[in-house]
Amino acid sequence: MIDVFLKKLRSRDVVSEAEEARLRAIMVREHRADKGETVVQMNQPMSESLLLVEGLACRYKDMRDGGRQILELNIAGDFVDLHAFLLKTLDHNIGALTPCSFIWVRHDDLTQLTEDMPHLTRLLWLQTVLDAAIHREWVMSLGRRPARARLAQLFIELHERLAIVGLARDGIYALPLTQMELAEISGLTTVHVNRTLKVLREAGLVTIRGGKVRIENLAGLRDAAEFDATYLNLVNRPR
Amino acid sequence: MTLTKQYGRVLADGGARDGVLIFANDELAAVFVELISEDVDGVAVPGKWYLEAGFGPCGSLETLTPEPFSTLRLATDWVDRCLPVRKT
Repeated sequence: MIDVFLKKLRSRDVVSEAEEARLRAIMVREHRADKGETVVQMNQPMSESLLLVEGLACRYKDMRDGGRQILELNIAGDFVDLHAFLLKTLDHNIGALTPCSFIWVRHDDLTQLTEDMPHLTRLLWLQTVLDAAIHREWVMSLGRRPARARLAQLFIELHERLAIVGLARDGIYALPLTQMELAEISGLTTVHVNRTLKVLREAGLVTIRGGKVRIENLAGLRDAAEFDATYLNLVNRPR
Repeated sequence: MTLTKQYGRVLADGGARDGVLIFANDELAAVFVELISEDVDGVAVPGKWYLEAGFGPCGSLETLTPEPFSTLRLATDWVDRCLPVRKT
């Protein structure tokens, strides 16, 4: 069940058999979430963290007027709220954007793991460090990228992240998001999302149809987004 | 507050659209465009009058772009609500 998580870890370092065995031992309790379900509410006490193994989820916050900002998209293999292990309460909600399969991981088990296995601890730490890097890139998008580059950046980032866990191939991947959800990610209105997708399509860069993204011109899309993959740290090295 | 309208073509992001400029006491407060099907492809939008640009109390300092309005009357009502009450 956690193969996708191991794949993500092994894209950036070696995971020993003993480390894999420990992860498999503590990652067992499955939680299936329906599309649209809020899996974790902010400000609640937490004694477990959620690993996403299937589906598309997000971190989000609501405004008083009903507006929602999606702060990060989570894909299979993401340890969605590992930071709750230390924070014990989240400053954001976690929602399922599609039917999702999660695994609850007890904080007590993580505490024991961090005391027994320093290298595996560093690999888990790396997961939250990567999340922070993604957040920085999203701030960059929301603050400085025009609409066209903002969506271009999103589509390339997802391509790179999904490719690591084998869910993107030849520039094609599933992204069953509504234009409202793309608006909540990009800070644009649905009208502007629609217009921007049209511009990207007409420029021969990327097509979104039937819940699938098809990147037609990766180099062109990278250029449109001023994309630099450094923040994703796609390097396999000792940690 | 007197709101007046001036119709004209607007060079919107999706291409030129029919639009209307809303003036509040002769000061430009908002520009709405009439959406066409290309603007709302696959999106359930409740209306067709979209705030293309807002100024002052209708601008980004004070508001987020509202969902499109189904009638121009509702759009101008929104402008009216944004504007502060001025003593004359």
